[in-house]
Amino acid sequence: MHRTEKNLHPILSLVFSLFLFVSGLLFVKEKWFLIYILTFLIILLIFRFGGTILKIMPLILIFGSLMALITTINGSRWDVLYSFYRVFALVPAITLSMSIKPVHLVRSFNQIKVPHWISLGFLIVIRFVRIFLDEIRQIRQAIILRGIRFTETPVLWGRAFFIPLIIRVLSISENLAVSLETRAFSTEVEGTAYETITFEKRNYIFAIMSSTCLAVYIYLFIGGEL
Amino acid sequence: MKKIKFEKFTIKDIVFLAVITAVTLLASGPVAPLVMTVTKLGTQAFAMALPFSIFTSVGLRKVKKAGSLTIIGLFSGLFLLLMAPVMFFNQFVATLLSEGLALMLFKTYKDKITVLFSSGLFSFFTIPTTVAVNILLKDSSLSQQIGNPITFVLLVLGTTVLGFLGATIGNKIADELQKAGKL
Amino acid sequence: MSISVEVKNLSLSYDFTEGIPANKRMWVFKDLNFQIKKGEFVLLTGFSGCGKSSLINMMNGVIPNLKNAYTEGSIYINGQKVENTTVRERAKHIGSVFQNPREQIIFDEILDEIVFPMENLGIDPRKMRESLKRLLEMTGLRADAKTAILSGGEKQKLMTACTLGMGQKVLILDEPLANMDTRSSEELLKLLKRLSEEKEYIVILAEHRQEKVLPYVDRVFSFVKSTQKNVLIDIEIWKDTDTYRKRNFTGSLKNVFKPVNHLKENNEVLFSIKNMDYKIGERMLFKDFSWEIKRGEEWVVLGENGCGKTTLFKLLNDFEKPTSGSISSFYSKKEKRKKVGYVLQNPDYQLFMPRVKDELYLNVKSKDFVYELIRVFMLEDMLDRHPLSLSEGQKRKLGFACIISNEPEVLFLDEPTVGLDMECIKQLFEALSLLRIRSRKELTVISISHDKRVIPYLGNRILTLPQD
Repeated sequence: MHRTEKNLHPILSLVFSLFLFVSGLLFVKEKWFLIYILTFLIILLIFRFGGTILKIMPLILIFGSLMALITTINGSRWDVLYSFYRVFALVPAITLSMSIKPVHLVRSFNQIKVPHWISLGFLIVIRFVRIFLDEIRQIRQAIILRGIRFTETPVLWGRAFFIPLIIRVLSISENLAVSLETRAFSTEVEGTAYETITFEKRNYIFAIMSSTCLAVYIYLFIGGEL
Repeated sequence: MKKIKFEKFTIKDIVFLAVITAVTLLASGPVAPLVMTVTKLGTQAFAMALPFSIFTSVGLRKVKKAGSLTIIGLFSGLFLLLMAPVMFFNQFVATLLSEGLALMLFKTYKDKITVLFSSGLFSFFTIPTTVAVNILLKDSSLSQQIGNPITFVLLVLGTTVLGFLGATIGNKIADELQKAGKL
Repeated sequence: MSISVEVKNLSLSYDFTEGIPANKRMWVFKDLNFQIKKGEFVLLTGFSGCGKSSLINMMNGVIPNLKNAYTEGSIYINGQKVENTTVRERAKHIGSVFQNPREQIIFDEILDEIVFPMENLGIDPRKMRESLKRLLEMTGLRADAKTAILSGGEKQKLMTACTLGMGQKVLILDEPLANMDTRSSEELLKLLKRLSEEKEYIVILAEHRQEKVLPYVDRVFSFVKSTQKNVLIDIEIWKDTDTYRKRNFTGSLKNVFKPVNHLKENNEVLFSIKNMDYKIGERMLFKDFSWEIKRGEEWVVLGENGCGKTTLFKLLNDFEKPTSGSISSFYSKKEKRKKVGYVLQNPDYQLFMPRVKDELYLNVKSKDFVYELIRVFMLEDMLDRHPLSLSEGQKRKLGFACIISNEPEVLFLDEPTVGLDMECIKQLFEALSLLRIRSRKELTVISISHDKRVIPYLGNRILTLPQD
C-alpha cells in the first residue's frame, strides 16, 4: 500500500533541487535568466507547487532585497541586480526540497538500500532540532529563575546554559537509544516496509519536462543558439 | 607505530551523534542571520566556529571513534540539504578534512588533543570549501572573494582561534561531566 | 508452551572494583528468585533509586548490552535462557514502555511511529495494517495525527501502542504514569488489565504511586532495604494486595504533618489575572480566565494533562504572554526574580554548579537556613559531590533546596513529589514547614500536583482547570 500524495518522488525532488540550485546560480548573469526562472515556476505550478512557492516568496523577496542592499555599498548597478537574482534563483530548488516529507525521503533511502543508520540519524536530527528548541527555552527560563544574568556573571551564565543543555543531550539520547533498541531497531538486519514509495507517471512527466528545459538552457549557457 | 583504528558504531553512538548534531545546528541558530546576510568570505566560518566546536568536541569525547566528526558533518549536511543543497558538501567535506588531519596526526580520539584539533579545525576547513563552491557556482575568482586581504587574514585567524577556544571549552565541560560519571 | 518469566539467582552490582571477591562486592540485589506466569499483572514498587529500573533493564537486555553492570544469575522467558541475547533479540519476547515518551518519538505522524517497530521485526505489511487498525481502535489515536501536538498522556499511549504492535506477550512498563493525569492513567491501567486477563499477557509495571495501580494488580514486588551485608535491596513478594495496602499505607503523611488549614483574609493581592485568553496555535487554552492570588494563600492547581497548569505558571512568571486580557503582579519584573521561587519538575534544568554546596549557597540569604536544609534533606555527606552524580531523588531534593534556600515570598511548585518515595516526600514537607515558619506564615505557595496523597499538605485552596 502507498499513500496517495501530490508530491513528487522524494529522491527525484532532491536530485532536481540540487540541479536547479546549481544551474540557478550559474545562469544568474545570462540575459535569459528571468525566462529560465519563469519556465521552472510554470513547471512547478503545473505540478501543484503553487502553495509552497507562495509560502517561500516573501522570505526570498526580503532576503534578496537585503542582499541587494548590502551590495549597493561597493557594487555596481549590475552587481546589485545579480545579488538579488542569486537569491531569486533559489526559488525552484527550495520549492522542491521544501516539499519533501522527511519520512518519505527516509523510506525512499531505505528502498534504494541507503544504510539504515543514515536515515535514522537524519530523522533524529530533524525531530530533535524542534525538541531542543524547547529545551533551550526551558534552560533559559531556569537560568532566570536562579537569578543569573549574562550581563552580571557571564561565566556563571555560560555554566548554567551549557551544563544542563549537555546533560539533556546525554539523557535524551540515552533514552532514545534504549527505546529504539527495545523497538527492535537494528543497523544490520533489514526489516519490512509498511509502504513503498512508488515512482508514478507524474514523476516521469516532471523529469522529462524539467530535463528538456534544463538541457536547452545549458545549451544556451555554453554558447549555443536557438 | 600507532595506527588509526576504525571501530563499529553502535545505535547508541549514532543516536548520540544525531542528537548532538541537532543541538549544534540549533546553537548556531542565533548567528544564522549574520551568516545569511554577510557574504564576505570567512564571515560564516567565523560566526559558526564557537558553537560548532563546543558541541562537536563534547560529541567526540563521548563517541571516541574514528569517523564520529564526519558522521556529524553528514547528518548536519543532510539536514541542510533540504534548505541549501550545496551546504551539504560544505559541512561534509570540512568535517572529513578536519577529522582526517587530526587522526593522521594523533591517530585516536582517546587523546584529548585529537578532539581539540578535530573539532577546532572544522570551521577553518569550511573556508576553502566555500571558496571552491563560489568559484564553481558564482564564477567568483579567489581574489574577488578575498577582497581586503587584511580583513580576510583576520577572519581566518579569528575562526581558528574561536574554533580552538570552543573545543577547549567543550573538552573542559566533558572533563567535568566525566568526573560526575555522566559521560 | 505457556508464557512465563523466571528469574534464578539474579544479582546486580555497579561495583566495578577490579578483582573484588563476590562476598566483598556491593550488590544492588543478590540472588533474586521469582516466577511470573501468563496472565499475571505485577507491580514493582519501592523507594527512589531502589533498583526497579535496573531489574527491568536486566529483563529487557538494556543491562548489560547498553548499560554497564556486573551481573550474575539467569533469566528465562518461556523457558528459554535469555541473558546472553541482544536487546533486539529480547525485544521479540519482551515489550518495553518507558517514561518521557516525548523523547522517544521520531516520526511526524502516529502511523509511522506505530509501524516502525513492526517494520524492524520484519512483519508482513498486511499484518501490519491489521495490527495498526486494532491498535488505533484500542488507543483512540488517529493514524494521520501529528505526534508533535499530542498531550503527554496521548504520547504515552502512542508508545504503548508501538510496543503492543510488536506482538510480545510480556510487557514491561517503567513508571509510565509519571506524567499522566488521573483519567489517562486509569485508561492505560484498564487496557493493561484487559490484556492480562483476556489475552494472558504478562504485565510488569514499575510505579511509585502504588495506590493508583494496586486495584489492578495480582501481585506486588516490593523493593525493601536489605538486611544482608553488602546488599542494598531485597524483594518482598505480596500475593494479597489488600494486606500489602494496609501494611504500607499506615505510615503516610497524616501521622507527621497537618494539612494546610490557615486561611488568610484581607491580604494584598500578589497576582491578578483578568479576563485572560491564551491560545497555542489554533487551540484556546484559556478563555476569559480570571484568578487572584493573595499573600499567604496556598493554592493547588489541578487538572488533566495538557489543560494548561504549567502554562499558567509560565504566564504568572512572565515566560509567556496572554493573547488578550491582563496579568498584573505586586512585584516588578526585577523583584520577581528575587522574591518568587519556582521549582521546576525536572531538576536537571536548575543544577549546574560543580559541587552540591556551591549549588546550595548560590544567591543564598541565610547560611543558617541552608544548614537546616542540608540536615532535613540529609545532604551532609554529599556536599562535595557533583550535583549531577546524585540519584534522581537526591537531585530533586537538591533542586528544591536550592530554590527555597533563597527564602522566596512566593513559591511555585510544579509536581514537587513526582518520582519521590514517602521518605523523601516527608523531608520535602519538613523543609516547606521550615520555610513557612521563617516567612512568619506569609509564604504564598502555588503548586501543581497529580499526587492525591499530598494535595491537602500543599494547599487549602484548589483551582481546577477544565479540559477543553
